[in-house]
Amino acid sequence: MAREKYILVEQYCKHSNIEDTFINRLHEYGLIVFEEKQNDLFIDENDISEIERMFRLHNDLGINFEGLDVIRRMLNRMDKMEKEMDLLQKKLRLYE
Amino acid sequence: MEFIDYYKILGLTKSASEADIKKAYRKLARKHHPDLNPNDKSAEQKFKQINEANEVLSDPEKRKKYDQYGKDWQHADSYEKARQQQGSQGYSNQRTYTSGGQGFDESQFSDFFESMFGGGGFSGGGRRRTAQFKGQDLNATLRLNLTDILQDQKQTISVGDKKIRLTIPAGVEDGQTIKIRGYGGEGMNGGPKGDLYITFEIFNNTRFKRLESDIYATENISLYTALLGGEITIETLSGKVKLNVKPETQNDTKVKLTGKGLPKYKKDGQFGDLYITYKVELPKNLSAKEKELFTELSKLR
Repeated sequence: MAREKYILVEQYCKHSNIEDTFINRLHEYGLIVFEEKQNDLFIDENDISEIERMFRLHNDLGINFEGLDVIRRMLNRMDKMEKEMDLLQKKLRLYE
Repeated sequence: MEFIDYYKILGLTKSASEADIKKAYRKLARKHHPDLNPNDKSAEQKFKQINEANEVLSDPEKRKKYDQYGKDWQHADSYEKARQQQGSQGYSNQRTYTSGGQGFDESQFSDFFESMFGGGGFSGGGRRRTAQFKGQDLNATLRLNLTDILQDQKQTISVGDKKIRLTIPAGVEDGQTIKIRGYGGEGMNGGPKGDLYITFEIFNNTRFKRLESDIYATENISLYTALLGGEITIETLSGKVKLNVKPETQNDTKVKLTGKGLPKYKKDGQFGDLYITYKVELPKNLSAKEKELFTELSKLR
């Protein structure tokens, strides 16, 4: 089911409540990567969930772009640690 | 339908000022925001309540109505109580399938709220804006027995009214989540569909302990087999296997049966190993004759 799909930024902004300035700033801060084809900017469909999550955090909690980057890193770390903890717990169970 | 104490939800009293409400709301929203508490249903619930409380208390008109009406609430009626549509839906023996939306749909207010302030109609101001393009992601849990994951399994599951045919790869982990692209909610305005995330709960219905694709078991052997060696038969996931126990095998000796574990996830034809730990059983209720012979043996050492 691996199909790459790109969405025109302009199109995405028109249909969502997200403004292109927000998307541009995500790009500026390296939080997403644009795909450029013939002077048109596209976003990867796979990034949409992340974009929308960052949008909610920005909008609901007033988190700025530096903050979004920090949160993303922290959540990734947390996720990794949870997986590790899960594996360790399973290992521990062998000795019970 | 129950009365909801919005002040309590925000940790305030009725005398709270507008600034108090704003402050309390913001603080709690930061704490319980679902995007900061992934996989935490209670945070999601809490966040909804906080938003609802704020929706009412931050709006002077709503707050006034709530304050007046609140004390007479009991008379308002006994509405249809639990209108909970969510829940679990059995779909075949020992496999339960539950579905629910991920993220949050803030248009869903409590019955209490809707009966007092009506459904849809939102006063501007505090309305949260969400991006509505990609469809909502869905979460589901699929429970399987360990013996069900020895081979790839084709299954049809239903999410809402949709039937989804999927292949569950052999050797899937307990707690593992797989993403099925495009099987979530409908997108808005031509946006892509959301995704379906299925988390597996693997119930171990075998005597083996599992760590990834390796499995572990203990096997009792008699004192005599341990000392003199011999052949034993053990049960594995793929049937019975004969094992040669070496003479003078110590208690807790571990042997590895290569390839007798679980299939490795998404590695066709590869299997983990089975580890057997021998437990030497000492004879009990010795007869006089046995005692005599053991005494004799002990003198030889």
